[in-house]
Amino acid sequence: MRLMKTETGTEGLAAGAGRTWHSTRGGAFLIGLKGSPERLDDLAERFPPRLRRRLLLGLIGVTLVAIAVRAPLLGKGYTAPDTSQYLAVAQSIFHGGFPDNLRPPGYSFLLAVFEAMGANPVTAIVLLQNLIGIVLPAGVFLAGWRFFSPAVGLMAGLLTAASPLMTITEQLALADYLFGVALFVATALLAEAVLRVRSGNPPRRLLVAAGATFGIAALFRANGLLALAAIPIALMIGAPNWRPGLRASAVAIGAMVVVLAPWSLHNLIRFGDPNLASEGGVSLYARAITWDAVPPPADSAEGKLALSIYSTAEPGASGAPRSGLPTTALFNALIASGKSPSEASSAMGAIAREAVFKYPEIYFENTWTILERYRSLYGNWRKL
Amino acid sequence: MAQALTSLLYLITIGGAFLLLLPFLGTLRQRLAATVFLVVLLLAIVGGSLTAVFSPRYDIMFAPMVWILLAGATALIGEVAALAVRRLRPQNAKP
Repeated sequence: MRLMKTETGTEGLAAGAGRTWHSTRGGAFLIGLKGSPERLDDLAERFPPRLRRRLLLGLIGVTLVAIAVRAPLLGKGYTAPDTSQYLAVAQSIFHGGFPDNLRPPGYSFLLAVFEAMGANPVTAIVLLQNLIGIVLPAGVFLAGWRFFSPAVGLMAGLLTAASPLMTITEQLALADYLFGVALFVATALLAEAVLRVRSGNPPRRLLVAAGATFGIAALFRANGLLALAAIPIALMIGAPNWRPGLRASAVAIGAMVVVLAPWSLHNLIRFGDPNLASEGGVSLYARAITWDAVPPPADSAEGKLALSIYSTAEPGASGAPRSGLPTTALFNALIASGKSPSEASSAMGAIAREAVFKYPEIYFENTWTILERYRSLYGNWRKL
Repeated sequence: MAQALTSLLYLITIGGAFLLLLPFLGTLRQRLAATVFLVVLLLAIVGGSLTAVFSPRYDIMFAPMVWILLAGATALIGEVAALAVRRLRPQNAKP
C-alpha cells in the first residue's frame, strides 16, 4: 500500500517558497552554480589515475618551493619572550614534574624530550618545525584539491610553501606553529568526515582521528578546545539529519576527551584544577583591562591591588604599551602574595570579567577592532 | 610574490567577504568543506579576539585554512563570472 505524504502548513509554505525561488532567474543561477548531480565523489574519484601525474608534479612542485625557502634557515632557531617560560617548564618536567598548569603541556614536553636527548631544545624544535613546514604545503595542496579543485590546492599549497610569514612563525620556538598545523590537519579530517557522513557512510575511524588531532592541538594551545563547539556545529550542518550528526559528534568529541583526559586528571591530582590550562584569566586580563585601557574594578582585595598597579603603569597614556607590564606585574604580585599560578590567573580572570560587564561597549568595540585587524592582515602584510 | 598573491586574492574576494558565501555556492562537496573550515576559523578568530590581545602570530596559525578558502572563493568568483557571461550571451544575441 502506498502511503500519501501529508504536508503540514509550514512544509507547504516552505515548498511554495522553494518553487518560487527555483523559478526565479537568481534561483536558477545559483542552482546552476551548485552543479549537477549533487552527489559527493569519493577520494578515488577526486584523484583518478589520469590525474595522478599532475598530482605528483604538484606535490613535488610545492615541496621543492618549501625546501628552497627553508634551506637557508635550517639549523637556526629564534626565541621570543614566551619561549623562556616554555623552557623553564621543560627543565622541570623530568626533575619533579610540571611546576604549574598555566599552559598546556605539549610544547614544553617536546622541548624537554629534545633536551633529554642532548640537543639544544630551541634549535631542535625549530628544525622539527622546518621539517613539518616542508611537508605541510603538500598536505594543503591535497586538501585544496580534494575539497575544491586542483588549482585551488596548488595556489594554497604554494602560498603555504613560500609565505614569509609561515617561515617566520616556524623559526620561533613557540607553540603557535605546531598548534596551527595540528588544527589544520584536524579540520581537514573533520571536513572529510563530514563529507562521508553526508553520503550516509559514517567514518568512525576518521571521526576518531579528527577528534584525537583536535585533542593534540589543544595540548599545544588551549584554543584547541574550540573544537568542542566546532565539531558538533560542523557535523550537525553537514549530516543529512540530526541523528547521524549527533552520533558522529559524540564519536569525535569522545576521542578528543580521551586524548585530553590524562592531562586533565594530572592537573586535578597535582594542582586541584582539572582545566587544560589556567592562563585564560591572565589572557583575559591582558585583553579586557590592559589592552582596552580600562581601570580594573576595585571591588575585591585583588581588584584594589590591580588598580594600584594599573594606576602606576598608566596603560591608557599616549604611547604607553598596550600589553605586558600591568598584566605581568599583577600576576607577579599575586604570586608574591602566596597565590598559586592557577589561583592568580583565576583572580585576574574574575577582575577582567567584572570589567567586561562594567564597560561592555569598550570591550566589544575593541573586539571588533581586533577582528578587523586580523582580517586586514591578509590585505596588507606590510602592516606587520 | 606570496604576499602579493595573497593581497590579490584578498582584493578579488572583496576583503575576504566572499568567504562567507562559500557555504552557499558551489558543489555540495565545496559547500560542506568550506562550512567546516569557516566554522573552525570563525570560532578560532572570534574566540581569540574576545579573550586575547591582538598579535599577528595568533592569526598566522590559521593561515593555511585562510589560503584554501581565499583560493576557493577566487575560483568560485571565476565560475560565477564565466556562468554570468554564458547566460548573458544568448540573450544579447537575440534580435
